[in-house]
Amino acid sequence: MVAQGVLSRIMDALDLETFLVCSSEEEGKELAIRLMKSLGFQDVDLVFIRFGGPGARIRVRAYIYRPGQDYAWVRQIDDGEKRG
Amino acid sequence: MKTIGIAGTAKNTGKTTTASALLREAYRRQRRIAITSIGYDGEEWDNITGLPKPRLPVQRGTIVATARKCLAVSSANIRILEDTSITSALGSIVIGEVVDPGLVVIAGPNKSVEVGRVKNALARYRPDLLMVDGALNRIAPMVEVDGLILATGAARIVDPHRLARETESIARIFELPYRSPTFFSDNGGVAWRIGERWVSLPFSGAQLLTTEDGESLAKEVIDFLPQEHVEGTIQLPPLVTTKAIRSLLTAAGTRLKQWSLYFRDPISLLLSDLPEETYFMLEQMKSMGLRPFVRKNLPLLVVTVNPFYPEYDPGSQTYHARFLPSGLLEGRIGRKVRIPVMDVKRKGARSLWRKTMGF
Amino acid sequence: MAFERRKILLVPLDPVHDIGLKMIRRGLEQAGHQTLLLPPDLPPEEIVSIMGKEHPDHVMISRTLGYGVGEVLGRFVDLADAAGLRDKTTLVVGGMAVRPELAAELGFDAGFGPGTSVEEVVAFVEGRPYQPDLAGAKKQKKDITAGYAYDFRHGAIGNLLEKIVTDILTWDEGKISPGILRSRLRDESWDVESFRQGKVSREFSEAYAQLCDPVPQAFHRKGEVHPKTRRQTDQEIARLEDYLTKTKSRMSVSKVQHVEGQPKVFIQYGTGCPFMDIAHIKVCEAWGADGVVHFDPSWGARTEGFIGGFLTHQEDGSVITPENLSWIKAALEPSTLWQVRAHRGLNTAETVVLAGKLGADLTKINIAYGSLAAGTDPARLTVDGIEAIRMAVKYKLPFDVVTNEELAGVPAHKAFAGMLIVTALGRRLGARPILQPLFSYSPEVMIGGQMIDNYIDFNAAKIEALRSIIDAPLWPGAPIGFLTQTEDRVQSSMTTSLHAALAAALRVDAISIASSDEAYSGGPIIAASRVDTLQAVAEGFRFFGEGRIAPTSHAQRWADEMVDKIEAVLKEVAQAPSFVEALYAGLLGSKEEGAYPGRGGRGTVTEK
Repeated sequence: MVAQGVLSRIMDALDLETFLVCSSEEEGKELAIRLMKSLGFQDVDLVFIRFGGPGARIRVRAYIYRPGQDYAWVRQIDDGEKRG
Repeated sequence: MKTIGIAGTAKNTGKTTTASALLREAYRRQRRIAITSIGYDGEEWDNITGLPKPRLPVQRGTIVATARKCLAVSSANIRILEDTSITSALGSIVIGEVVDPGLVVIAGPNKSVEVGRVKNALARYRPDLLMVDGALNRIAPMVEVDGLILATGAARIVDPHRLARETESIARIFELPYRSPTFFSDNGGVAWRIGERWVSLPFSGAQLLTTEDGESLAKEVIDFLPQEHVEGTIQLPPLVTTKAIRSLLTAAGTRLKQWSLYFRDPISLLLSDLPEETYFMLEQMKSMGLRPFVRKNLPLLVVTVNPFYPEYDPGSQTYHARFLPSGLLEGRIGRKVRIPVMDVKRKGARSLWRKTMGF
Repeated sequence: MAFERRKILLVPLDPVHDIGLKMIRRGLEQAGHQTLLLPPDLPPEEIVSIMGKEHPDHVMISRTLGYGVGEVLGRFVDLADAAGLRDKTTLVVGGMAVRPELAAELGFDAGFGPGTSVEEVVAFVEGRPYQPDLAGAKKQKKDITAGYAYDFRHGAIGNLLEKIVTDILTWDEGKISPGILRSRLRDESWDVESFRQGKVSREFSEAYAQLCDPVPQAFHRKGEVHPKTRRQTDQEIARLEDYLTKTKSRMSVSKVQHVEGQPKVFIQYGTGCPFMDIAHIKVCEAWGADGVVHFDPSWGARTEGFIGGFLTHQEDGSVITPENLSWIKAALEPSTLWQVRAHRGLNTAETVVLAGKLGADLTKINIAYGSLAAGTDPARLTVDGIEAIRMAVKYKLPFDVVTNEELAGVPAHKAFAGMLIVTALGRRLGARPILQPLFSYSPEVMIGGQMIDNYIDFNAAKIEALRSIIDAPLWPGAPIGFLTQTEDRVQSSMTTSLHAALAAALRVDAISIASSDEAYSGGPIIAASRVDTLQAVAEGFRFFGEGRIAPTSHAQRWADEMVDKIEAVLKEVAQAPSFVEALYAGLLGSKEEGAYPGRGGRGTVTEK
C-alpha cells in the first residue's frame, strides 16, 4: 500500500494513544488492532497496553513506512522545491 | 492407523507446504485423516486475535486434536467429539470432526506423553493416517510417530554442500539398525556374559549427559567387568549426549569391543548434539568395534527440500526472497542419502504420498 | 491443610538477568520452599543433568530473549522431555520479552513476563490462584492529619495568630448570613436517608427556597433545573448503574507509592458530567489515585443555594447537587478518599454539611483566598467560613486551606499568612486543617526569579517555612507543578512526576496532580491523560524511593525570609481594626498583586 495525501507526509508511523473501555487485556488488544484496521491501516501493531478495572490504556501503531521502503515525503519535498 | 510426523529444520523450509500436499493427496484418495501437532508454531500469529493463523486446509470428516481456542479462529466448522483434558496455553486439547471444510489452526499437546495420549484417543476414531505437525525448535515429542518426514532447505543453510552434509548426517542417524533389547526397562543398564550366564546391572535412572556422567559409567563398568574380555551390551538411558558417550568411549572403549549399544531412538539421538557431531560419534563407535542400535524403530521416510531463502539486504535493511536453482538441492542431497528427496512444489503431492505411505 | 514444601531449581541463562531470579529466590525461601540457584550460562544438557539428580518440582529459567534464544529454550524443553523429566517437573520461563503464548510455543508449562511480582511466582509454585488485591495492593483510607498536634513552633507567630483568631471570633459574634441559615437548615432538617429513599420534604423545600437566589428557588418550588444543565434520563441512569456494576466487579486498585510514607495522590475531577466523572474516577483508582477532589462550576459559588437532581452539563466543573454527589460516592472504591470543596463561595458552610452527610472524607475552606481571588465578599466569607469550620468539626471532615491567590500574583508569604490565620481559626475551633501551599511557577517567582535555576529551592523553602511555624499536615497543590506544564504530554507528565518526587522527598502528606493535558484549554481533559501522570508519578516515586533531593542554599535563605515576612504581615493584620478590614486593605494580597476583595454576597451579613 502506498501512502497517499497527508499520510504520505508521516515520517514513519502513526501512533494512536487512548483509553479503551473493555473487560480484559485480551479484549483491549483486539479492540486496539481493530480500531486501526477500521481506520484503514494494514501494518499495525500494539506498542503498549495496560489493563486495569475500567479498561486499557493503549498505544497502537500503524507503520506508514518501514525502513527501506519508498518514502513519498522525499519526493514531495523535492517537488515542492522545484515548483517553488 | 499410520502416524506420520512432519518436522521442519528451520522457518521457511516448507513444512506447511509438505503437510498440505500430504493432506491433498489423502483427500484425493478418500482416506480418513486425523491431524494434531506438537504445540504450535509462532511463525504466523494473527495480531488481531493474538492466536496462530489458520493454515491447513481440511475437508469434511477429518478428525483434529487441537486447543479449544483454535476452533474459533479456524474457518472450518468443527464439531467437538471429546475433551482430552490435556491443558495448554490456548485451552484444553479437544478432539473434533470437521463438519464444513475450511482452514484450521492445529495446536496440540507439547509433551511426548501427551502426544502419546492424544494419539491413542485419535486411534479410536479409526483414521487411516494421523499426521503430526511439528513445531520449530521442538522435536522430542516426535518419538510418538511411526515415520518422519523432514522438511529442510536453503532457509536452514544456504550453502547446498553444507546442507547436504547436515541432511546426510540426519539420515544416517535414522538408518541405525533397530533391535529389540531384552534386559532392561527404559532407564537402561549394562549386561555381560560369563560363560552361559548373563550378569545385568540396571541404571538407577541417572542420565548420560555430562563428561562426568560418561566417566563415572566407564569406571563402574570397568570395576565390575572381569579381567578377560567378555561379550556384553549397554542399554543407554533415554537421553545421552555425544560428550558423555565420547568420555565413556575414551575411558572404557577398548573393553567394550563387539558390544552392542542401544540408543533409545533416532529422535533422542538428534537431541544429543548437532547432527554432524552425532553421526561422527556413531562412526567413531563403529570404528572402535562397537555396534550401535536403536531400540525403537522410527524411519525417516522422505526429505522435502525448499530452495527458498530470505536474503538480508543491509542497504535497505530488509529481507528479499531468493531461490537456489531448481533441482539443485534434490540432486545434491539425493546423492548423499538413500531415502527419497523431493521438492514438493516440483514433484507434487502424489509422489510424496507414494514415497511416504507406499499405498 | 498440611504445608507442602516445594523444591525449585532456578536457572539464569544469562548473567544480566540474575537479579530477578534472586528476588524470586528470596520470596520462595521466605515462603518456606527449597531453592537451588544454578550458576549462569549453563548449557541445556547440564541443566537437564542437574534436574535428573535433584528432582525439583519446578524449574524456572530466566532469559532475556534475543537472537537464537528460542532455539536454546526449545532445546532445553526437548532434552527434559526426552529424558522423561516432564511428568514430575514443571518448566517455567521468565524474562523481559516472555509472553505466555511464547512460553507455550516453546513448550514450557508457564511463562512470566515483565511486571511479574514475586508473590505471583510464589502463588504459582504453591498451585493457588494469584490474587493481586490480597498481596500488597490492598489499600486503606488514611487520615492525612493523623499524628499532627498543631503546636506552634514559632512562638511570636503563634501569639500573633492567637490574637488574630480571638479578634475574628469576637467580630463574628452575633453575625448571620443566608449561607449560615441554609447550612443549619440542611444540617437540622434534611434527612439523608429520606433523600435516598426519594422522599421530598415539602416543608424543607419551601423553607430552603426562601433562603435562595431565583434559580435554586425555581428548582425547589417548581422543579426547574438550572438553564445550563439537563437531568440525566432514566435510561442513562440505568446504563450508568449497569456500567458501574460491571466495572466494579473487575476493579482492583493499585498503588502509586513505592515506599511507605510517600504522599497520598489526589486527582481532581469535574468534567461537568457526573457520569464521565465516574468513568474518570474509576480509571484513576485503577491506576493508583488515593483520593479524588470534586470540582464544581464557578457559578455554583456565586449563587445562593443549591439545586437538586442528577444533572449534567457541558461546562467546566460538575454541579453540586445531593444526587450528583450521591452517585459519585456510590461509584468510589472503599479505599478512595473523597474531597468536596467548600472553600470560596456563598455555599461554603452548606457544602460542608452536604459533604459530611453524603460521606465525604475531606473538604476545603479558605476565607482569605475565597474573598481575595474567588469573588466572595470578605465579611460574608468570614462569617460563612467560621460556620463552615464548625460544621467540618461536627461532621469530622479535615479540610485543606488552599492558597491559590498566589496564582493571581499574591506573594507566597501573604497567601501563607492568610492560610495560617484560617488554620489557626480551625485549630481554635477543634478542626483538623491541612496546609496547602502551591508547588507552582507563580507570578511571584516569574517576576522575582526564584525559579530561574530550578523548581526545587522555592518549593522546598515553602515547606521548610511552614514547618518551622506549625506542626500541621501538608498537601501541596493544586495541582503540583502548576504553570510549569505545557500541552506536550511527555513534558507535562515529566514535570508532574518531578514535582511529585520533590513532594515525596520533602515528606509531605498528600499532593494533588494534574493530568498530562492540564495546560490544554480547548476542551475537557481526558482519561488517557490522567493515566499518563499517574504512571509518571508512580515512576518518580519508584525512582526516588527513600532517596532525597538536595536543594541549594537558596532554599533555607528563602524559607527564613518567608517566615520573617509572614510575621510582618501578621503583625499588620493583628493591628488592623479587624480581619475583614485587613482583607480590604490588601494586607493579605493587594490589588497591585492581583487580589480583589470580592463582591459576591456583599451586604448579606446581618446581626442577629
